[in-house]
Amino acid sequence: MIDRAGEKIESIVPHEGPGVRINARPADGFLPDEPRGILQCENVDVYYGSFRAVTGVDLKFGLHEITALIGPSGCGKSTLLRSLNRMNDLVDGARVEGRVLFDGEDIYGSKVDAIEVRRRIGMVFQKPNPFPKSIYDNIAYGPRVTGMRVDSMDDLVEEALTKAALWGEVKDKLKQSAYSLSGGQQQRLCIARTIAVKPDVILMDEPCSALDPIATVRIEDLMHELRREYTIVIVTHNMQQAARVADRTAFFTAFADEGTGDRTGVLVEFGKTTQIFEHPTDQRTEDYISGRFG
Amino acid sequence: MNLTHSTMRGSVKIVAVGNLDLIARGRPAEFRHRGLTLATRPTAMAALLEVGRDPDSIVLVPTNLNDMPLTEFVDILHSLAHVPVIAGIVPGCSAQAVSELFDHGISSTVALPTSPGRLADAVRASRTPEQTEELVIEVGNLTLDDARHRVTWFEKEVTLAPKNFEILRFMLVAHPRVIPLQELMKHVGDNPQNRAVRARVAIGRLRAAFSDAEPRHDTPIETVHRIGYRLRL
Ligand SMILES: Nc1ncnc2c1ncn2[C@@H]1O[C@H](COP(=O)(O)OP(=O)(O)OP(=O)(O)O)[C@@H](O)[C@H]1O
Ligand SMILES: [Mg+2]
Repeated sequence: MIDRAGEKIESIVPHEGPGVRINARPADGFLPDEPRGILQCENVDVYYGSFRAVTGVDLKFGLHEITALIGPSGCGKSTLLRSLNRMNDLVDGARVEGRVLFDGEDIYGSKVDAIEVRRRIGMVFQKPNPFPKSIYDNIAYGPRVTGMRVDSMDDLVEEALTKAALWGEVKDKLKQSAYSLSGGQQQRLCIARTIAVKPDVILMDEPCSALDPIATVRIEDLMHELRREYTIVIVTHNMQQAARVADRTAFFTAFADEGTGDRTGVLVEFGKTTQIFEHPTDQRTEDYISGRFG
Repeated sequence: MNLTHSTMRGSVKIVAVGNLDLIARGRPAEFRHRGLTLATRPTAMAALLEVGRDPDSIVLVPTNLNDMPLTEFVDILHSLAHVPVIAGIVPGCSAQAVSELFDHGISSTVALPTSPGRLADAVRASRTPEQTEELVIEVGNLTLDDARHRVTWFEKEVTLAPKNFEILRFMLVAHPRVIPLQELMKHVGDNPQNRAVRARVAIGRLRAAFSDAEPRHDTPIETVHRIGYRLRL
């Protein structure tokens, strides 16, 4: 297994910029007061046309940490998540203001290659969405289309499936259709597919909401494993899930803009997960975490 | 009235440390009427001896106890006598001191000097549900029928999972006190993980159940920001 701790992180600007050496999170259990941000939002606004969906977000995602984004429906969690790897580029009329820094570089910078951004910052969606191909081809797809130099595709497939805790279950049926897998297995396959292109960050938008409780526990266990190598940002509606997996939690809500009447999302509070659930400083956080949701 | 060593008769015996004048306001008949026997003892040690004679009693300790450290006395009462302890809050006592007392396992609090009614509430709050004789608790528009596991709110049935029923029962027994989050966390089951979030989520589920049962009324659970929750009935 490659240990990315202390490894050089390549620049997202092609053929440019000195990579910066970033140290991994210290021994398990220790969480610094301030995240050592590998990915960072600076005063981020996201618009769909003239509608401002999210405004003024300042947030740091700590290296080798799991950060949960929580908040009521429509407060812009998915919108913000998609802005972290330029997935919004694919949405008509979507526009990001402010800066999203990955390892110090603005991912919206003019020289930045959006495809490379999405390779380095992968995304796993709510509904497992494997391709209508074999299990093997689902994993090999990313490395092939991105033109990754691969010594042995078989090894790479095995490594990705192993890291996603799926290898044991599928190693004898790699040629079967990905659709033959259960929902939980399909989601782990999608995680393996994301891992295969060797990202640094994995974004997950409600990755367990379509899964049964047992499959959910497996994904949560997997997230704890993956944190050793990757930085993870997860959107979840399940506060117990946030408490179980996340080192830090960011709570968002939406407020009605007086002028336009639009409901715009804002970051209310960000801190260590234990602090957010035990001693939230903002009343809106407290009202939400003991409100009718959860 | 005998100020240093006095007993008012009722069925629940409360042994209080200190001077009766500083502990309670009200006539002996009012305490009796609430089913309380209040016995004061001048020192912590004297109170401990009294509890030894009557292990079914409840101890009321003022937060300005002066003959030994307060938390130490609370620990002794729990470990030697196994009795519930109510902290009598005297003016000037800090919120942090109170939260420390909850960490040492006190079961409720009451402001001193207390009226018979408030003391009766604190006693009710200090008893575990199993000790509560009432099978149907009714406060305002809320009723909880323990034997039938039924809750009604403005006469509408509130559907609750067993765990959330237990939490509501605990809150109802504690009514009208504010229940600090730390205390609520002790009632969310044995698993020590993530108690805070489980307590918060249970409150959310209770609220949802109330508003599903009777959407025209606000749910009776009030958030006391940065402290905890209470039932407003
Ligand atoms: N493609 C789009 N075009 C226009 N508006 C959009 C688009 N996607 C989302 N929105 C709007 O942006 C706001 C934020 O939506 P978003 O999906 O980010 O919220 P969310 O917090 O993820 O909600 P949920 O918890 O329901 O998933 C909403 O008002 C939504 O209607
Ligand atoms: Mg969403």
